[in-house]
Amino acid sequence: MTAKKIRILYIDDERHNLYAFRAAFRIDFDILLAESADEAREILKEKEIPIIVADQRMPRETGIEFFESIKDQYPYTMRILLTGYTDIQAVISAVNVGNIFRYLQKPWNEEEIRGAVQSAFEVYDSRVQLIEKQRELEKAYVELDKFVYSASHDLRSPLMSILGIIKLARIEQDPSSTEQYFNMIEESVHRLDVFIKNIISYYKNNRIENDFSQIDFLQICKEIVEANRYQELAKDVQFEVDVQQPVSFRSDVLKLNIIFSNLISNAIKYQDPKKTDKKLWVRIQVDREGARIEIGDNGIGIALTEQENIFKMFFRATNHNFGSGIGLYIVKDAVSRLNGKIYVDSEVGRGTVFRIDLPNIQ
Amino acid sequence: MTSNFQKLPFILIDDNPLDLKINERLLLYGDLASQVKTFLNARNALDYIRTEKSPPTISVVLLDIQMPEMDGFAFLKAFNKLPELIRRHYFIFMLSSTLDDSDLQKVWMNPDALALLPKPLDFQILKSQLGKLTHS
Repeated sequence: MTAKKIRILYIDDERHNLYAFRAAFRIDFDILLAESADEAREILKEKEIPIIVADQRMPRETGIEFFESIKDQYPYTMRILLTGYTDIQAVISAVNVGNIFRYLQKPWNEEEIRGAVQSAFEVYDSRVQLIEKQRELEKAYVELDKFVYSASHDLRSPLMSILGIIKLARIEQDPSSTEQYFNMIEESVHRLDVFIKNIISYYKNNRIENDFSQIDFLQICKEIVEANRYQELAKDVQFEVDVQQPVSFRSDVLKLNIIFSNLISNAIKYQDPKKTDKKLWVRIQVDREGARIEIGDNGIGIALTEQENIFKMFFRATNHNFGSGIGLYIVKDAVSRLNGKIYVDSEVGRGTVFRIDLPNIQ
Repeated sequence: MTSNFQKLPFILIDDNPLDLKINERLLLYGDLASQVKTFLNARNALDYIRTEKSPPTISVVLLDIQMPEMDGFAFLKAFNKLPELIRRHYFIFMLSSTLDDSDLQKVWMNPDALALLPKPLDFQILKSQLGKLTHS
């Protein structure tokens, strides 16, 4: 395993300098060249550039002027200035105006450039990682806020139901209702338990790194279908499982299980009780590139206006009481952690189809 | 004040069927309601209110906050657009287990919600709220 080469954009108005730079460093680095500041701007628009090395003396726009013009738009790019003149004024403005990381002399010393590029990249890399961490932290804060909100609703509400039942049992005279109250309390306890289990499974999924292994899709589907088939809601649902897997497939089995079990149990929950031909199908096609998965049902469907919200945390699209509003959020999260994509296609009264594309991790 | 308490018709709106059942019975066994109508879906309740031909002089609405499709606040917004002739028959209270500050704030600010009642339904609180209404 060789690490990816560090990409450098070198800007100089003299063509032979450009070629000499490339010849000297192309083994160590991934070199892009620009003959002018404008040309460099075009390249910046297209590609991620960690480090720019620019010549100071160029017609129209100097290196420092160029650096100053891009520093707001590309704040993380590291800037190194090259000049053939020991021009103290250039050094001062390089530091003050252009926010230059290093100032190097021409003709360049190869070791000096390598060293400067290496340390510039270390700074760049740690900045990028910091931003990444900051993004994760922001996501965690948003989730925490949502969690507190939902603790106030979803966690508290079954408890308040139970308090209500107790109150009712106290004023109710008829002792034959007791059994009914026990059942109601049981229902509330189960509701709370499902919610807690879902939250725990989400946070587990969130913490654990991907663990790739060989995947046998047919096996996974069979197990989950078997686990769901005998529940009351599934008793007159027709299951169809069609797996075409001519090549081996690698992915994370735990996350696949989370995805399949949530989508299959949803497809059962949201069947249309009025239909006599209740159907649920799982179709999977695997090739070298990836897997295309389709999990569908002819159930109640999801209104178009609700479809954009279904993957949000704690959102429930229907009035059915089963949902905790976290299942599809977990599914979406697991799919994106496997670098996959998930799509929903649904129509009220006709049913819902989830399509997932997952890459084959080789 | 509560000795000559007058029983009123109630409308309950909650997406949780269990809570509907509990609150319906509490209102009936607690001798607070003359009759109770329940709705699992706020939109259906709104349609009922909009099209009711001969509404009782006063109905009390107990409205849950967090519901799919149309939540409690969306219901209030739609209710606010109904003609005054209809609206004046209904006294709306929010009924929720929420502890969220922004929910409390929103109820406080809403012109059509009289108060936020905590779940489970508390007779004393409800009676004193209704007492205030029938006296004014």
